[in-house]
Amino acid sequence: MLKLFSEVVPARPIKLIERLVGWICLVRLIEEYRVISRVLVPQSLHFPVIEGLPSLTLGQAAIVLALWFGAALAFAIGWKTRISGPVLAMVMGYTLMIDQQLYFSHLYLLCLIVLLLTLAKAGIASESNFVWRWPILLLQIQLSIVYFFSAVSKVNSVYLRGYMLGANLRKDLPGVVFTPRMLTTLAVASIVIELFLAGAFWVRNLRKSAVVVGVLFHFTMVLTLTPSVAAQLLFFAIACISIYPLFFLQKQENDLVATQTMDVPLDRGKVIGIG
Amino acid sequence: MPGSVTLASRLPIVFFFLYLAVQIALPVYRLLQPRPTRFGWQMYSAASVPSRVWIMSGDRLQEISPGSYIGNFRSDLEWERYALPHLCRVRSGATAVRYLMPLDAVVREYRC
Repeated sequence: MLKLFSEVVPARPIKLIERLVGWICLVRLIEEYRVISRVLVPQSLHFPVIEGLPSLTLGQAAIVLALWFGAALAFAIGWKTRISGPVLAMVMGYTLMIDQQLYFSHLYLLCLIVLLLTLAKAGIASESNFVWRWPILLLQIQLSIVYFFSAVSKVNSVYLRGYMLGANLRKDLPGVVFTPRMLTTLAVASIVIELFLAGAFWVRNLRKSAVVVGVLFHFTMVLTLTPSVAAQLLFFAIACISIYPLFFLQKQENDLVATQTMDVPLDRGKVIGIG
Repeated sequence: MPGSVTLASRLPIVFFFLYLAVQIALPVYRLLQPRPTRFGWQMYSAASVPSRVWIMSGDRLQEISPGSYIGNFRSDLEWERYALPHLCRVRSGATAVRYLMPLDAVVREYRC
């Protein structure tokens, strides 16, 4: 088990994911600006996430958003990611705590992804071709946690009776979709799919099926749920799908690590290549 | 020094298990609380906001949008905790707020 903490994986796919996530965080800033400018006005009711934690004024929020922009841009172009990553995760994480109206699960997931991607490079020379494997494993586990708890939390009468889907599906879908039986069928199907995705990525024979099912599932949601939440679902889809390639990393027992320029001892490290 | 265990070498191990503990324990704890709530991956699992709201002023009953006075209306807001007292404060003359929660047959009432 402790061997995990000396294992590394190739940096190239991780850096590509880092760039993608950085750009998503940058684009997500537009949505944050839209929501924050409606939530932090004096006439809007404050819903504290933590009782006693003060809200922000619009002026203070502008500073937070400027920090977000700078950190996300730096992270997206791969500049000083050891600093921009933690700053970006902290700023996005802070906005989740300001007001319940500013809490979004996809933003929480993006925070965790940025944090773990940054940790994958902690203590490793920037020119190295490898990053730590343990934060990547945490990202993989995180994806399963998201799908698992999303499925389990939906096992309740409000969801199973189709209320949530009925309220959030596009109103221009065929009428048959909105019948109680169909809404319940769709509700059960969504729970089954999420449970499948929580486990299937860990089974070698099911991994490719999981990618297909996952991509179809996320984009079906984006296309069929009401446009007011489509942007959020798209961010969530890309955040989740960005983790999928990590399940295709394959172990390669070789001595490459010893030849890499790294400022940490990795003489007993294993290299995990992408397959 | 090969084989030596330093505090720095232990940090990843500590972080790994702490992260997992938090990321499993928090959603489990959230499952035991009324749904939906935050930091538990409970997206679209339920609604804690009403489908209809009325302001009662004496004998007069006026329906308002459930999203009134809310900048970003989400289904996981603690509406009953924060919105009900707020509505009583900002609607002068309001004596009660009546509201219907999703799939409920009975209209609830909050006295101002």
